[in-house]
Amino acid sequence: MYRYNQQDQAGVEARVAEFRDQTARYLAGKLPADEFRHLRLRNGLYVQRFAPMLRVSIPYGLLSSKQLRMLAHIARKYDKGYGHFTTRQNIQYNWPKLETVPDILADLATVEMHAIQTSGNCIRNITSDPLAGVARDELVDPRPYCELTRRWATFHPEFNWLPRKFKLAFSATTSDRAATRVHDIGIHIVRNAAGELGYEVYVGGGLGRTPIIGQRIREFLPEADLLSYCEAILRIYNLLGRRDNIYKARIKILVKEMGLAAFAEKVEAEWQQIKDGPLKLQPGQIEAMKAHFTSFDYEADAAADPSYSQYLERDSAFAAWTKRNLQPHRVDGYHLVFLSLKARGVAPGDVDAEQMDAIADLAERYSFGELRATHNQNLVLADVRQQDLYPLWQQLVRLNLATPNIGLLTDVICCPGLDFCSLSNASSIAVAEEIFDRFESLDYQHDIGEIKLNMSGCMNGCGHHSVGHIGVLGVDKKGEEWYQITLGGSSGNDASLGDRTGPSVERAQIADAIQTLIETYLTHRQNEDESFLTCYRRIGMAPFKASLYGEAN
Amino acid sequence: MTHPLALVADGEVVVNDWQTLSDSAEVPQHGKLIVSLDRWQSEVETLSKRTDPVGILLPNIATVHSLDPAILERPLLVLDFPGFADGRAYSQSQQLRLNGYAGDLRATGKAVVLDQIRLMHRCGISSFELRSDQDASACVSAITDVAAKRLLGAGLFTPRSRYRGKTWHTSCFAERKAAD
Repeated sequence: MYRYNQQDQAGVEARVAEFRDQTARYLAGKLPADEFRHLRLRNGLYVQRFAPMLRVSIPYGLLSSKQLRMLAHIARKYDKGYGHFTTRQNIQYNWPKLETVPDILADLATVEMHAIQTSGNCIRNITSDPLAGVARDELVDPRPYCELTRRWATFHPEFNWLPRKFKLAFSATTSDRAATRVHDIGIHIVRNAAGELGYEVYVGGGLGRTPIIGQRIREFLPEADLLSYCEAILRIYNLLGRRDNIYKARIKILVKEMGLAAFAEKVEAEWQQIKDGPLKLQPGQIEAMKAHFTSFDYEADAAADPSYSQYLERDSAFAAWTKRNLQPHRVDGYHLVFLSLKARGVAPGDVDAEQMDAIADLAERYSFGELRATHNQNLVLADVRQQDLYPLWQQLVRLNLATPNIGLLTDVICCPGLDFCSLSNASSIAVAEEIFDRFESLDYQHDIGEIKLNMSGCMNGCGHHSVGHIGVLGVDKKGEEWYQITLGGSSGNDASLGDRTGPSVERAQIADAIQTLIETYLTHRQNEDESFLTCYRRIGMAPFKASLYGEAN
Repeated sequence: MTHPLALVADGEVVVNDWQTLSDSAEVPQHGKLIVSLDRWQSEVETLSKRTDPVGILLPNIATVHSLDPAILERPLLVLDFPGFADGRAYSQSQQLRLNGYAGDLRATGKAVVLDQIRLMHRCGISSFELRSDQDASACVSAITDVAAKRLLGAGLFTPRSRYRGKTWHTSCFAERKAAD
């Protein structure tokens, strides 16, 4: 993985000192509260319903064991002993004290981590495929490109005071696992007909109050032009994006209001002026970055191990877990292992300090000391030999991290909701738990198959409800929690926004409603291979609507 | 009218001898003047013949690429930061430098504070009319200290590499405090 050079390290340390000074000036009454708010947000610090919340950056979701141990230490020392993995592959702490945040940031800096630009109207953490570097369907490893972009975006002097937040995501595979089409800029690394590497660039996607699927602004951008082209897009957005209304300030609204062609024309003119300047990537630069992401020393005979198939036969629980929680690795005999953070009774994405330490040990023992956070709020050990799967699974079971539900109904994406967030209308975590109880039978879940249930506590859409196959959104009706349901959303290659079923349902009915929708699907699907999404796209809303509202009448 | 102090190039306070003229005020015969873009455009004939220098205040919605090339010959252009979080002029600054503007580029407004001037400097802004509550010496340090330069990121953005060898003076202006 990428290791900081001296300049990176000095920069992160200087930022800690700067924030320490800003915090001290604020506490001494020398820095206006509103200005401190903008500055603390750019250092990851929100003030939430009950306490401040600190969001720590995990660039493209990649973590070392050493870093995870530090995250555990922070959870213990400054928080209530746990952290919450988010849909931006970051981690959040919900109970730090404002006065101690500079110390937390200083601790993070000792392991090449920070909370810079994890909030505020600036360029946020860059996300990518959690399987990057080891996926079978990958054209190239996207992480060197992510890291080059991270270095460009971090401390970028021009784009720290944008109209609104700005998110980039990279994908280099045939199936998009990074939800690139719902990002401000989504980049697909591709090869053109001449065999050259480059990028297909999407712009103006986003979730939240006005969800929009990104449009393709460029079919093929040459490899060397990544940063200059992003700079041109950001500059046009910074100059022309709306600042009069926070809900219309994202680039998606600018692109929509100007029209893609007019927006692209302005970007092109700006880009022509800077494309051959210092931002142009030199071949040596890209190669040097790629050298940070060389592959591990895989054992050539890993696939020869006979124990794995024996355990599969002997232990059906283990076999069930391997079916759901493994993905193929590009090297035979190795596997990608998903650690489910969606166990019963646990808020989706939550991990406690003891689990973190134990995961760090497991990563060191079985996966070259690295792990990844996924945008679905799970963790991945990406390089596990097949002979290690059984002992690893046994330990994950003990840690409550082996729920075999990856990609199933209870693998929900969910925001922190009313329990933590000052914006939320919904106890999204409690609802998630109710759904967990309702669909507890794993056999039933397996029968339902691949499905994405996404829940957000409010319009801001942190739980990505608009792109859930089933989306659930908390709305407030005269102080009561109600839930609006959407069907047919997707964040993959076939990205689409969900359609509303109709009137929202009350809190007491939401689990029933989900069950009704699932049963309708099971009744109508052609066979077991037809997923919920495919079935919905074939039969449309009418049967779901009928069963959801017809019965109530 | 206030007569601000100034901190010059690489770390010293100098007197700000520029006067910002309101659109209705009469143009004085002598002295350095800053006029609005509107006024410059409507009185370009007379203002450009003036012996003493005239600078222009650009609103942050002005389109840099459509400005009359003569504007890029002015000795001073002033960029407006009307709100603490309104960063449009950062991009105007980059565009002006990329378009070859080599004169003094000054920031004015609510965002011209300790916590932002380093970013402004890196975008090509060369002088700073500090907000009246700012500590001028701390602001000078923010753009000149070695430690502060560590916040420059990965080195892709040093002004010199961005503007192909062009450099400019750095000055910092602070309004004179009542006691002065």
